[in-house]
Amino acid sequence: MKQNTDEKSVSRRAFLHKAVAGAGVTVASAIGGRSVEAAPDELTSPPIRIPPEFAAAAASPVKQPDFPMTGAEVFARACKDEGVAALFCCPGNYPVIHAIAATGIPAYGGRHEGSMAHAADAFSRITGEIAVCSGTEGPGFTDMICAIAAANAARTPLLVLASNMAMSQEDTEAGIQLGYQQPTTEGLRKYGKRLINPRRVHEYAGYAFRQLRTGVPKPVHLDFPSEVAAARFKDASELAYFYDKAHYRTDSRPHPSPKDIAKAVDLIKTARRPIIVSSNGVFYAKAWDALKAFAEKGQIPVVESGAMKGQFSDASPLSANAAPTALASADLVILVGQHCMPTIGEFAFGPDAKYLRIDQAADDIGRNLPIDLGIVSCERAALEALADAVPRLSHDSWIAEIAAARKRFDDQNLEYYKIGVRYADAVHPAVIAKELGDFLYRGKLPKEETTIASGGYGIARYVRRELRGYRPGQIMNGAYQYGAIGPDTGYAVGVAAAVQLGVGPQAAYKGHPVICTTGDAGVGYTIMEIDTMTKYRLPVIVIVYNNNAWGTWVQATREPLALPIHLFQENLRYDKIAEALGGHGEYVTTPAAFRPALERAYDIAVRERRPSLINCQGRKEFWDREKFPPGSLGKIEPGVMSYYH
Amino acid sequence: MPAARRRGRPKATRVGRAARRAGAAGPIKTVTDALRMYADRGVFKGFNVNDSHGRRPEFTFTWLTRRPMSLSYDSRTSRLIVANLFPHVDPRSDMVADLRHLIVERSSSELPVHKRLDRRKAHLTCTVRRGRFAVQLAVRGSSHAYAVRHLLNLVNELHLRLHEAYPEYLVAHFGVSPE
Repeated sequence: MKQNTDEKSVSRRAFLHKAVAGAGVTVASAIGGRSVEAAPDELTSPPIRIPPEFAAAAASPVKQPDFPMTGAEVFARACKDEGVAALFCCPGNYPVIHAIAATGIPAYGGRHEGSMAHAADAFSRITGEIAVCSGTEGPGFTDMICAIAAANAARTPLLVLASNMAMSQEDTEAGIQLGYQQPTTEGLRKYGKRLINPRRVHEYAGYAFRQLRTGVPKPVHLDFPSEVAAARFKDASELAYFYDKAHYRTDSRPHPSPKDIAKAVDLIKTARRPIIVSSNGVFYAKAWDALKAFAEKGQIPVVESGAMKGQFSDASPLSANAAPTALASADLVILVGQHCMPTIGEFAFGPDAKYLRIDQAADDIGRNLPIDLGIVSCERAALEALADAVPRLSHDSWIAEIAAARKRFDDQNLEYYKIGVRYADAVHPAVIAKELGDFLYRGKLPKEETTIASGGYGIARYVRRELRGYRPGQIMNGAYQYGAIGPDTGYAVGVAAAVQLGVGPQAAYKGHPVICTTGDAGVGYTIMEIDTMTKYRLPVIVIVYNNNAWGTWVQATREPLALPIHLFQENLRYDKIAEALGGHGEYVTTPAAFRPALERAYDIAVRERRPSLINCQGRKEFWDREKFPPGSLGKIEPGVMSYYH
Repeated sequence: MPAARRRGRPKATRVGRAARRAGAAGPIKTVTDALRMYADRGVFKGFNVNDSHGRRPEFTFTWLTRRPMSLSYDSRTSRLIVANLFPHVDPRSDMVADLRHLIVERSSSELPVHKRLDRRKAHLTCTVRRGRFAVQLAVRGSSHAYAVRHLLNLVNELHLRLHEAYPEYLVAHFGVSPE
């Protein structure tokens, strides 16, 4: 990883100057950091800087682990051989993370194990590759629990590692940080194992990667007693099993039966308004080309759901992502790789719709939504077979209905914007949504360029309406299924790392700035990762909707004793925290100021590779529909608004 | 004044009632079968029919939310009724105006044919009484299966509108998660 230590340092002098100078001057001083009359103590304060060890690390040779090796090195070598794409961690589990970093797998160290585990989850969600997170035994491990649960709900192939007490001290409470890890992740993972036999460390790496690389992905959790990590092996003969991955797992995938494909084609041919729901399985199977071929040949619209979006381009007239009022008209719904199934009423489709479900997990087909046909198959294999088998079909009137619904949705968004921009003394979320959409997709930037970590709670309900995906992995859907709003800044670390490294579908967009949207409640959890972004030169623009409250405050309006639970101090300066951590800060208090702030932040991201935080001052009352229409919004799923399923 | 007269219908004679009872069996069966099909397909849960008088069966089932829904068919007036579709509503609210607009729009020629209500087959109205938002579909001729289908699709779309624009109402009255 290349580090640039020549970047301009952010001095405390500049920071303090900006604190009193206001948003306009903030820009000049953040970039230039000069022409300021500084107090004497400021002049003597050391600047924020990235330690030289980062550059030294980038210049250090990669060590290919070979015998003699420790147990940690054996495991790290398996990670390298399996193509693990990144490690996100905090200090702890030292032999393992050091061994993994030594292999050259890009390693990112952050401020909180939970944030870094979220980063690893997000990294996988937009690359399709396996990322590792790690924490120390005890608190480092338990800090990761929310992230493991979120990754489990999102069906992410997350490899969770943690050190754990020595086997020789089992049950004794000798030392500190005693904890039984595996029961803790029960129900939050696909596979877990406390490694208790050092000689089988490579064998269990095989267990882990079989689970991570096949079927419906979910986290895998391994905990390492010190005897395993520290064991020493002179050669392969001292390990119980040690052979190449070609011998412990297969890349073969289930293919659809021809009979099932014929039945599917019959259903498609008789349908007047078929629609494809593309979800996680399409992404992880890298099936976007097959999806496009099938959709275009059958002239079948596509709507997305899932933990990531963009596997079908919203530029296509077949995209129904932003056409929510058309969805109820579908008479055949083809669910592809929709691992997290909605129940009746959670997707917008009407009562007469038939359902065809394609999934790798036979034991899940038919759960929640009644099916008319189930096909057990790898998503790509099924889509390729359908693209071959389906005749060229025409659904022109159906496409016209979707186009009309899309226009209606766009008109509705514009109407919200026109209402929002009239509230001149604070920034309405509709303004953030529309201006961000204009900047990303209707301005100078290629619309497929910028990768998004989409998060927040109330703000998300406006912003999602404007976000679009034009290529695989463009949108990381943060709150997907588990609904955590705190991880957003941590997620953005993983998204930015993936773009920085150009992994998987991010290759063509390597190094470009990344946008993260969140709220003031969310940013409170993980804002310290601005430091992580700064030191690794991850150019993230974190847009914070600051309405002085949790988005839930409306529920307590008639409960005076409970209401303060939902409130923060007003007008908090999250932008200054970002500045104090080496990032750039903007404080936006009027609608007109948002777009220029976004442009300045983007410019800094491009030129300095530095993160920014744009603190958009709203007001909590914007969620009150009576006083400030349109108030808080809901959602329709699937499509751009979806995050439940 | 008798209720039947107030609604503009001629007072029923004994012969007329018998004739209607005989004639009602067909439509009631059609409506029942049409609804039961959704239960058989797994769309409805807990489908139940209560028809103590033989003329106004009431169907209950759980469908779009966790709250059971009740739909009745009045064979005397040939109306499908969801009497308490949305409880606790303010008739002057934006939400009710929005729902009314969707219902009026249902007959618009701008809608795609499959969504548009065919006035030759049914007539749609909505009311708010004592805070209850109700929809009624008066069936014309023998279009009962059509009417059932149309009414259910309409109910789905009314719920979607609430999900999109008035989520707090569903949170307060239908147990939808505020998250």
